[in-house]
Amino acid sequence: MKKLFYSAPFKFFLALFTSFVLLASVFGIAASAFLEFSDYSKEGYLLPRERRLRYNTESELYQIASIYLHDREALPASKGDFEYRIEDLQDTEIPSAQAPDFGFLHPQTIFVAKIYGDNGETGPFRFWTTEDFSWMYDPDLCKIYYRLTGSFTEQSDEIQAIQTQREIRNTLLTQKSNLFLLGIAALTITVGCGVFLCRLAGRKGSEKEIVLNLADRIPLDLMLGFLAAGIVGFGALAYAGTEEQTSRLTLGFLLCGAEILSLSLTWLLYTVAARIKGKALLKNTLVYRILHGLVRLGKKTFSTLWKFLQRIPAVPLTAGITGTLGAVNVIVAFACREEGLGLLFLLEWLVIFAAAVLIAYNFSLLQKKAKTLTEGNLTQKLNENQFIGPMKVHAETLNRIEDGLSTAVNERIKSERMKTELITNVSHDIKTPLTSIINYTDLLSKDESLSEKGKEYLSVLQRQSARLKKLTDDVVEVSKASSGTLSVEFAPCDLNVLLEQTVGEYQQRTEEKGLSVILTAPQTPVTISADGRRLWRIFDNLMNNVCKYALENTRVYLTLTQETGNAVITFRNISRDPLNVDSQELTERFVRGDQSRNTEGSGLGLAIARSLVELQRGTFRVDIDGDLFKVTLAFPLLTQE
Amino acid sequence: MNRILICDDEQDIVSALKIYLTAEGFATEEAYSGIQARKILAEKEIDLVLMDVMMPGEDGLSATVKIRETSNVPVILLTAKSEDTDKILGLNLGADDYVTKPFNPVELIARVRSHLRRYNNLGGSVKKTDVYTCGGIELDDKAKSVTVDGDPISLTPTEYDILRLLLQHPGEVISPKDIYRKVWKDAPFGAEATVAVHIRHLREKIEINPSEPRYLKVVWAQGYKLERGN
Repeated sequence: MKKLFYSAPFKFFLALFTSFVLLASVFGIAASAFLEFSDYSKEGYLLPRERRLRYNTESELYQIASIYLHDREALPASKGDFEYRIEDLQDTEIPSAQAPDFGFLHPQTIFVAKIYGDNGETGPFRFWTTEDFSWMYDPDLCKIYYRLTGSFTEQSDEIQAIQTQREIRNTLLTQKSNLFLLGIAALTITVGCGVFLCRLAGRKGSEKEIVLNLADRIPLDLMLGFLAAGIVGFGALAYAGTEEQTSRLTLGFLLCGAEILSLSLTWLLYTVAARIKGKALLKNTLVYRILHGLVRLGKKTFSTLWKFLQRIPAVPLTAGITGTLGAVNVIVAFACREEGLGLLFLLEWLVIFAAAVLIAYNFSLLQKKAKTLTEGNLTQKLNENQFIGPMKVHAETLNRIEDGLSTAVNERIKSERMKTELITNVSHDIKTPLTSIINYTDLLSKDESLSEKGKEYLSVLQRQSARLKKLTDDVVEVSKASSGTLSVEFAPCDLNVLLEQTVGEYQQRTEEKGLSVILTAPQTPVTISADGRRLWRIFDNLMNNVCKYALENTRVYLTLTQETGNAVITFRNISRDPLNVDSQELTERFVRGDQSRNTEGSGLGLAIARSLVELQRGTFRVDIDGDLFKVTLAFPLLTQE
Repeated sequence: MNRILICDDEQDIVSALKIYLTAEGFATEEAYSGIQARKILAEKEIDLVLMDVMMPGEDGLSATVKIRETSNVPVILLTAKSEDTDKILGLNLGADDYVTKPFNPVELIARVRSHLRRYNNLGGSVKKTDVYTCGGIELDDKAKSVTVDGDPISLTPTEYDILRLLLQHPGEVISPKDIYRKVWKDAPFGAEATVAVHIRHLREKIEINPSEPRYLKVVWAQGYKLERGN
């Protein structure tokens, strides 16, 4: 049911119904009020049409009379739908006290008479209407010649129209009280419907929020203007229409017009309700928009001006402000013929001006210094002799801050460099004895006289010395990669090519373990900006891990995809041993999945890979899901120019 | 018999190298500092020098510079530093090759042999048509034979074609797609990994240490190129 109420067709029909009822109520109340208070219902009221008819009839009669007086033969036998007769009253005595019975209005009558002059002469013919004649007539002064009586026939349009209007008037007069009741009833229904319509306004379905449709976005004042123009236009049209003719067609048109207006008003109610609910009643007007635009323009201008003012360096700004104010003071004093005061002002002004400019200059120096400090530039100290008063203290403080900062920074850099240097040197120093160990174990392995046990021990020595070799290399690399001392030469790299190269390089080792590598990559090149050698080191480490830790005879998935501006590479494999380590921990240095530290490798592979990925602006993530080991690398794609 | 000068301040390393080299039939001389090495060079006829970089007193690099003033003898540096900058510095100062510590004895011997062959055959080869050379690699397209430092190498037809393609464009990076197109004469659709496998095999055949190739270099994320060796 609710859904039905909120549907657009229902709303439209409700609005249509409301508009009809509104029209009825307006008509009912307006008509009854009109009947009650206007002359219309009074006895003897003449319709405008009737008045005009009388005038028309009179002028017809004047015409006929003047033709009759000049040339009787030229008088037409009949004049269309106008009937007339002419009576000769030359010999009839009309007593002055007994004026002829002029009490009728229709047909109309005029008299043709002559007025006597002072010496008994008669003047020219004159025409009188019955009304004039009734109070003018004096048999001693005036002689009547003819009486003309005429009227439009019953069939003429004018008479027909008047009869219709009279019938309407009679009906209205008899139905006066009923009309009033109808109006009140319709008004009640209108109010009810209107309230319901307002409740529905702006709601779509049972949603909570207010939805403003396209029509609700039309500026309200613009709409009101149109509506007012419509009402005025319609009023004028209606007035002219009722005045001129009252055919059924014009009445129909007027009713249609009234209905359209009524519907417009109903819709206005609906949209205003929706706008109030949507808090857009005032916002959605032309006036508001224009004012809003002006305010915004003003704000923008003001802020631009303010920014401009702020950008003026302190010294010229201070000089400008104090200079102008002082100059105004001095000029005003001299203009008022107060030379003594003017001179005093001038002196005062010079002192203030000099002090203000000096302070502003000091301030600007301090400001500049503080800015260079935040930028990490710790080379130039302030010359404290340039400053005065409290500014000098501040300059000294800034210099001391700079001293402290530069000491801290230098120490930090020194310790970083020392750390990396230490690791590098230690690893170099380890390498020399390691060379001997490797060489002599190798030589020993060529000795045929070695016992079985001796050979077994030797193989342990060889394996562990190889591991030590790898460890020393990796330690140097990880310290360089994580301290950022590793140089990275960025160049466009095609990841498709790199993945294929990696798979090719590892083909033999993966085959030995019975691993089948499944490479999925788009056909189009996926290009990133990176250092090819460093990228290979990452892939090398990851594939090395795969070969070391993947379960034999399983599949290894390498995929390359493009996702929202990133190239994403994933390595997925099934681990041979259960992974009891947290995925976060795995990328820490010296942490290994198997914990036992039996297999070859330093435990630095993932840590190096992660540092190298981050050096090349990428992200590195390890996920463990049961036995599934997954590494995800993402690098920003190189944008095509 | 070739005479090789071993120079390292670490006595154990010198002795180990001596054992390896004499086992391979080389005569050796030992020196424990740069000054000593130069003295021996001036007195005796030496065919190749193995020089440690970090030594007390005169280090390997300055000794190499001084040797180069008088002699053309091949110098292989032994260095514990694995950074690229150190290698480049050494090569620019006049060394012919470098081996990073801790080194594999077999690799070191192979490099020694390679340099000796090139040093002894210097200028002896006649420029032949249909022969492509790059460093110690020689490919005779008529005989369909390949030699590295004089040693014949047996290649599969595909490996041979790839090597010839790279030799025709020395120093140029060629993408796996182009290699596939030119060698297999087919459109490459996901078959580029095959190229990588063949390159790997080829490297194992022509390089002394396939993980640190001298000639056939992998330009990661771009392709492959053949460089004139050091």
